[in-house]
Amino acid sequence: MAQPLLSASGERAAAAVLAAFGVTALYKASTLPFGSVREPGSGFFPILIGAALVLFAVVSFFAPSRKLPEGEAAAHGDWLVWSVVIALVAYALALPRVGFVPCTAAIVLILLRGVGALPWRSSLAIAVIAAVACYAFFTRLGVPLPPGILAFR
Amino acid sequence: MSIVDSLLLGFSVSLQPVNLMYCFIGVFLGTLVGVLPGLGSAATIALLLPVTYGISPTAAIIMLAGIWYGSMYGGSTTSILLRVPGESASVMTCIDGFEMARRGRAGAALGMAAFASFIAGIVGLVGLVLLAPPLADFALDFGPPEYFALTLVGLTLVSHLDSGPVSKALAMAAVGLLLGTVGLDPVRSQERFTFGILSLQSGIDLVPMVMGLFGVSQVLHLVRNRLATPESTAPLGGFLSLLPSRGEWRDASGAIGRGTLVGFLVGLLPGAGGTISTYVAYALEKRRSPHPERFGKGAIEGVAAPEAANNAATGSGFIPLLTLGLPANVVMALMLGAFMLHGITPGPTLLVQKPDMFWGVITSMFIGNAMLLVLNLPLIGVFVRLARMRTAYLIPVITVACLVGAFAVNNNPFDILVMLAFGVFGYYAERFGFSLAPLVLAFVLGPLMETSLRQSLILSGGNFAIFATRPISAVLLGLGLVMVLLPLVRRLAGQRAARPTDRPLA
Repeated sequence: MAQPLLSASGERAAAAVLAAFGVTALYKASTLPFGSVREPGSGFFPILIGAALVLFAVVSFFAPSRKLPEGEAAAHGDWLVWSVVIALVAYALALPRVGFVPCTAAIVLILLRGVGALPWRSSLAIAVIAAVACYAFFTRLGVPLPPGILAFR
Repeated sequence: MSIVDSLLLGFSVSLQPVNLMYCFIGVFLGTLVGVLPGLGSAATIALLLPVTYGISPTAAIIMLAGIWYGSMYGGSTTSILLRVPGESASVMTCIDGFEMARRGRAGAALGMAAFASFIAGIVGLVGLVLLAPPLADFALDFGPPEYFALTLVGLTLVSHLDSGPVSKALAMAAVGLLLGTVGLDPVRSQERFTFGILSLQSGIDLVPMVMGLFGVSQVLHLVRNRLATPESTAPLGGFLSLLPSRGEWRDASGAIGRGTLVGFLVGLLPGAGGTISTYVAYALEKRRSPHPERFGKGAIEGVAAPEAANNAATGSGFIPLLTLGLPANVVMALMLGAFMLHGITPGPTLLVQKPDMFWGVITSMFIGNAMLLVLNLPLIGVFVRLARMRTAYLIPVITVACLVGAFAVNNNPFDILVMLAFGVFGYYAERFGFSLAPLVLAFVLGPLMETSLRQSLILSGGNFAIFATRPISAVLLGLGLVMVLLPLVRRLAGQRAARPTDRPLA
């Protein structure tokens, strides 16, 4: 299981983000009809919970951080994590037009070559074979994966 | 209907060839998932939810349940041989299991894990069979105040049983409740928090959310910190070496019994179920052993007790879902999602309306446990090789599985974006010590909690006393309050009892 690598400033930042989320929810919920305690409206529950979230987030902000033994040192910085996230977002956006096989081959290639540091040639071969095999398998199961540019018509 | 008739009805369903096949697929996949350290049972079940559209609801639940208890078996194999827990519920098994393997008793440790799992799994199921019908009958009288009390106490308990600080777990539960309000108001059909996005009108889908929180976030963790290469495999003898010696049986039999009981009881509580029960069972054995110094050095009780506990907990974990419609842990939340996909609401009426499904699912678990005992022992060599799969290959496997799974829910790439958003959120949340389980449970329970709260207040004319004057909800809220206050009182009294939820291996 993933081990939380703790740092006090990171924990505080996370608590602050949750508090901000709570405040946003409170603001949005205040535009909904609150109703009354006799007949609670759509905004009643979100306002209660939003207030609770702000409270718990503030308490978490000041709570002492846990002391855990040091986890493994990170192999890569956050930049690699974010590169993967950006690649995945690009995948979601390109999928309907470009199609499943090219998109999936590209993402597998990036993960094998860029993250896994496998040699170019085997990365490329695995990526293409895996993408075609997944397409064949899942379309047969009834999942309409987009063919994209490979639909010859 | 007597218990015997019910079981016969159940077996007549679960022994149908189709259901047997899905049961086998489930336990086989479960074992694989239990072995692979990167992929948890929650993410796998989320992944397979869309696939279950095409099969009967009974077969779907049978298969998904098989994944869950199958993963408990699989996790122990790699814990013992490689000291790699495939699941969080098998972390405790690593300690003494791997030590036994280092001392040349790998076979006995594996055999004991399998037998303890099997015995506890069966006993847990017997408990489920005996307890579920009366409880479902009792729950038929529950109204909105009772359900509100149940959900409130459940979420509070989840947060208190969490491994981290309570305030953080409660904050995550609140986030989950808020996310659950996205979409149409369940009482008035008013749009809430949709930001004008059409796809959000029906609310956030559970599947992309769970795959993001448990699949994508896991990928991101793997990108950042590769898994350590497992230590070398301990040598394994033939099949006969898997049988524990008589002395080992004598040492372990008490541990199996106590582990089963602990697992069954803890599994009923809302929260991490299996995982926490293994901590409690291990700590209990160590405390009552006349030779506590043997623990950590290859004590067979240290393998038997947690393995019994996590398997007994899988049986009892079904009780709240099948009798009250309330999921006790993340996997049960997904199981609830699976029922809903097929238009069935689990709860007290399930037993009356669909006895064939109810008993079919339960009896399939007896069959599945037997399959696992037979399946696991001969295939250990294969599983060990799988568990040593390099992170470089594991990352694309999990990624593609998540991408296809999220897309397949509604054939909509928007769900992939939702999944990625939850993936990034889950990645940072875990890194900074915020657990994801309270969030998912709150998300699933949220609509029920809100509806029952609002209906209760309408019933009582705005008087909150309704929760205290109805006996069942009063007792539930009272119990919840005691459980929340007890640790505080104890801390004030200066007794710093060792919390079983502290992570012993992190």
